[in-house]
Amino acid sequence: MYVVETENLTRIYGSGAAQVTALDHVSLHVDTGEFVAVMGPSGCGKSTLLHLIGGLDRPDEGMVRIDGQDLSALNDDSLTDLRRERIGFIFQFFNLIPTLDALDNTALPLVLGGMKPAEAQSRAADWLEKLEVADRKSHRPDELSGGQRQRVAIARALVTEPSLILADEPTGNLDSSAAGDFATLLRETVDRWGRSILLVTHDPRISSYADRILQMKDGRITEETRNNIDRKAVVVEDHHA
Amino acid sequence: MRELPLAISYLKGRPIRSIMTILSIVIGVMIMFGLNGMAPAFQDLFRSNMESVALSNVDLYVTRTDGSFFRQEYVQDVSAVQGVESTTAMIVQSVSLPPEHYQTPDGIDVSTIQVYGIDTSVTDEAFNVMTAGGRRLLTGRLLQPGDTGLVVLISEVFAEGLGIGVGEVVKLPGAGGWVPFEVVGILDDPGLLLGNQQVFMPIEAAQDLLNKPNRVNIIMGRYAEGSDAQAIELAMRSMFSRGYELSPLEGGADVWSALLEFMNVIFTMFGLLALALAGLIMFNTFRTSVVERRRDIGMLRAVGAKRRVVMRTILYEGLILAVLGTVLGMLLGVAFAYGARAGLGSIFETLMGGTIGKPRFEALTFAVTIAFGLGVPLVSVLLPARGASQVTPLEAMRPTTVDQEKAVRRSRLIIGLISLVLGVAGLISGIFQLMALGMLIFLLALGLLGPLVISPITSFFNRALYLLFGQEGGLAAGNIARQPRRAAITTTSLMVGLAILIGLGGMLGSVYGGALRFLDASLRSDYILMAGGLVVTNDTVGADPDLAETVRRMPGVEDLTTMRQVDVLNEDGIGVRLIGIDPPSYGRIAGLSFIEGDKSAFERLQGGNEVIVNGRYASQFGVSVGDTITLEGDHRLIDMKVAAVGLDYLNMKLPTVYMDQAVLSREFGVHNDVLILVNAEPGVDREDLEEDLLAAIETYPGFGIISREQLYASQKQVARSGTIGMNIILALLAAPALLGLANALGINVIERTREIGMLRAVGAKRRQVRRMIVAESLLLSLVGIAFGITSGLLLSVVMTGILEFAGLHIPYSFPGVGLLTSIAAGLLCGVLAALIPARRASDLEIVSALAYE
Repeated sequence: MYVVETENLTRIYGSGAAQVTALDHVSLHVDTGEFVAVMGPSGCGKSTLLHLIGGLDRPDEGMVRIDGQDLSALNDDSLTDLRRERIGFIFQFFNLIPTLDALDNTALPLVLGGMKPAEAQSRAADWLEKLEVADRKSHRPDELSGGQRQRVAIARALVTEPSLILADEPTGNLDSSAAGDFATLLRETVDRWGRSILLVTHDPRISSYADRILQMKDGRITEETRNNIDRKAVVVEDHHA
Repeated sequence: MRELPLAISYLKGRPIRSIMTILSIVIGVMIMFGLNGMAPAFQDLFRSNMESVALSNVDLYVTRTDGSFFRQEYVQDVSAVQGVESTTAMIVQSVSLPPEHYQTPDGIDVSTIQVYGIDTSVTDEAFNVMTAGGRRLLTGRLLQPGDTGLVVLISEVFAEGLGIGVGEVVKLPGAGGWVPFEVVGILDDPGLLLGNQQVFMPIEAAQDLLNKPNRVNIIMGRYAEGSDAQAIELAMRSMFSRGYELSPLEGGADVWSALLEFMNVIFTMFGLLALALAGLIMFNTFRTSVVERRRDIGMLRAVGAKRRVVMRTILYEGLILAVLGTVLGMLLGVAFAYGARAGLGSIFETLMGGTIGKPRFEALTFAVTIAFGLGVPLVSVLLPARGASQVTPLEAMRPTTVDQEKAVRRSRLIIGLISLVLGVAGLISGIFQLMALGMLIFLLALGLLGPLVISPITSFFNRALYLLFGQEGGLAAGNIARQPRRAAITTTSLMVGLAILIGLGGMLGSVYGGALRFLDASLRSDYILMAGGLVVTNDTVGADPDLAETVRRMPGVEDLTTMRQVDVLNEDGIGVRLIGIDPPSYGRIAGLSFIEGDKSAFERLQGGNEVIVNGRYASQFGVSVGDTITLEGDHRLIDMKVAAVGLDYLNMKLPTVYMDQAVLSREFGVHNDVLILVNAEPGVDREDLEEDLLAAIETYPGFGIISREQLYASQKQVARSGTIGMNIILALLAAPALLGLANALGINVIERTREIGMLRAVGAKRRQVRRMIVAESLLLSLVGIAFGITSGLLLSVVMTGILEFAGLHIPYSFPGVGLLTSIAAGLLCGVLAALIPARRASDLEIVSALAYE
């Protein structure tokens, strides 16, 4: 069973003459522990694809399965539960809540899921530790550097132990050094903690860390290439430890 | 003008916010315009009797400023002044008629007879008096020399209504009852108020009718050709004291004009408070809007917009909202004035025995409303607009630093504390204008200090919210605690609204409670016989002492006391009310609530040179027991020693002096009783007694009887109606607070669109988002309520204390019910205000929310 599987995924915006097919019958799959990068020019449908897979938007045609679960069969609440429990999001603009400190930002999905704040914070602290920003846990986003903010965003994405991480241009706001660090971190997320990642990016240096690269154009996947990454060099940790 | 389209597009882009901001202005303008539109109608009610007095173009009028009577001999003194060629004395006096006694052919009730007493021996035609001010005679004859008896000229419409003609008899009301007059002539209709009929009679007949022997209230004079008008006026000025008017006829009861002025100020204050709230909401709205648009503004600056373009854009936005709000507010104000007239008319009819005319909107009302309607919002927008223009493109991209926030907090604390001290100083200054200003500054201080207490109050309610709303409650509390400034902006309007509500409500509650206590202390007789109503003016003719004597001899009457009254001027030319009492019986039957001195003062009044003053008089003129006050009698200044300071129910709002009736009669020529307080013998058949009393007053027009029980019931009814009226106004004041809260919450949601989108993306359900927003709103309301109640209570204590400065010694009543209502209203506000924003937040499409700039 794939972590992500789509069939003929289609999304059309507008109507009549203004109608735009953002995604045109896209079928793909992501394996467990696989890092897939989606590349392509602006407006090719990368983000739309990510939104549909993340259950943030509904397709006009086709279907999405996450861990075998058909998203179209879920109502809004169940979809939200699935998103919270099985998917972690990382956005380009970090999208941290400016009024919460790093710890509370990380613990947010757990708190939303009903976990007691103390327990949620303890688990969030673990992830901040793993991502080496534990010393900044009491700082608010405006007191963190871009790289630190992105680490907190990854911690938040991982804190619910999701099987899939969706990342939308996550390095768009980082300098090249921070972007490199970030990509290494993502690779580690796959290799050490066994997560699957679907990442949308413009940056070939970032996509070079992926196992597979999907090229998109005009709403379709036009090309698929595999990177030769030596995965035996890393040891997969038990992510529940 | 390139800023205008930009401003319009911003406003159109935020329709809900724009509408709510406009609404807040609308309410302020509506209250201000509507209440001030009613003011002229009230003035008419008081002054209608004075409007038609000027009979002709003469050189000199002598009247007393308070409209009261003086000795007729003065006409000889005026004649003796060199350069005065001729003079005449006259009486112009309104006499109220019992309802539905006389009517015009159109069925209009004649409520007032304006008695013109004319000296028929006058030969100078310049005065026009013999032709009744130049009116056309339709049938019969005019008054003529030698007429001194009971003859009268009436108008055609009055004669038709009565169904009488020349030679027939019309009964006119006087101090001794109904007096028959022979109609000798019928005049054309002057086109004045039909309910206010003029009758012309010889001066002697008028003096008899009114029981004002040898007294008049107008002297007219004409100068000889070529005489020095200035010299004459100088001579006259030395002859008459300041209490006399020497030129145009403007005389009116100054006591009432003062009360009217006071009412006008109160009306304007209400409107200003509402507008101040609207201003606060606009200030908050625009301040938040500027913060929210920081990046936009930075971008505008980056692409070449100058500072003044940014500032003008924001000011245009304010101007557009202010113009729309003012125009709509004025339209609704007209409706409000008509509605208030319909609602409050009956109360004033009971109180004044008159009808309130249609609302009238004068040029000044337009000017003041437009000035404030546009001015307050524009001033409120000025600071945020200036702030926006200061934003540099680079700053706009950076978040606010902690240091900047600390600096803002420090300056807020300093300015807030200074404002608080200034506000309280103004409130307790005892000068009305300063008190009004003090109230506004006090409210400003609340707005400034609010953010500094948000965090402690929030943590106080945090636990309760967590229990009620679970995780979402915790999130909401966290949001608020970490953003005290935003939370303060949101709660300020509710806080200030509630402070006003509780402050005014507490004060009014104390006034009503206190008033009923005074009623108990001062009008506790079994029956009150009254001329017209409880509100007595110089126009109330009253009854000669025969009526009291008749009642005193009546079987079943145990005791009675009478009260006489006149409004005059004191030595400073300020209107005061004089009440003539019979001290021994007044002490037994009525009484005063003493502030200084005690009942023994009644005995000392009989000596003839001591008086009791009420609290209003004592505070207004700074006198206390043992001081001497000077009053202007109708022929000399009189010094009277203050024996005590006390209050009675009817006159607590006006500066009042209580004196022996003998003094009032001797020095002011007032002989008529306006109130007769009667105690029944124990065990007497009340029905029989009431029948006898009714029979006794039958010949005294306008006199009525009210029992103690009826009086209480009616006064409570008046208080209740008054309370309802005030509550409507208070509710109108509260409405902007609700709008302000909803507005600020709405802005919060807009501002946090991306944040909410992210929450939804990482797993918050729609319900959770809704609950979070509602919890946040409730918590903000609780903060607003907590702070609003604290400051409202403080305000109500201070405002009730202010009344003490005004001489109303009213014990403070804790507004318990008001508090509960405010808490409920505040929470309801919170939930209502959150409904739309919560729905909006939960309905946000995640993808577009995440893409929101």
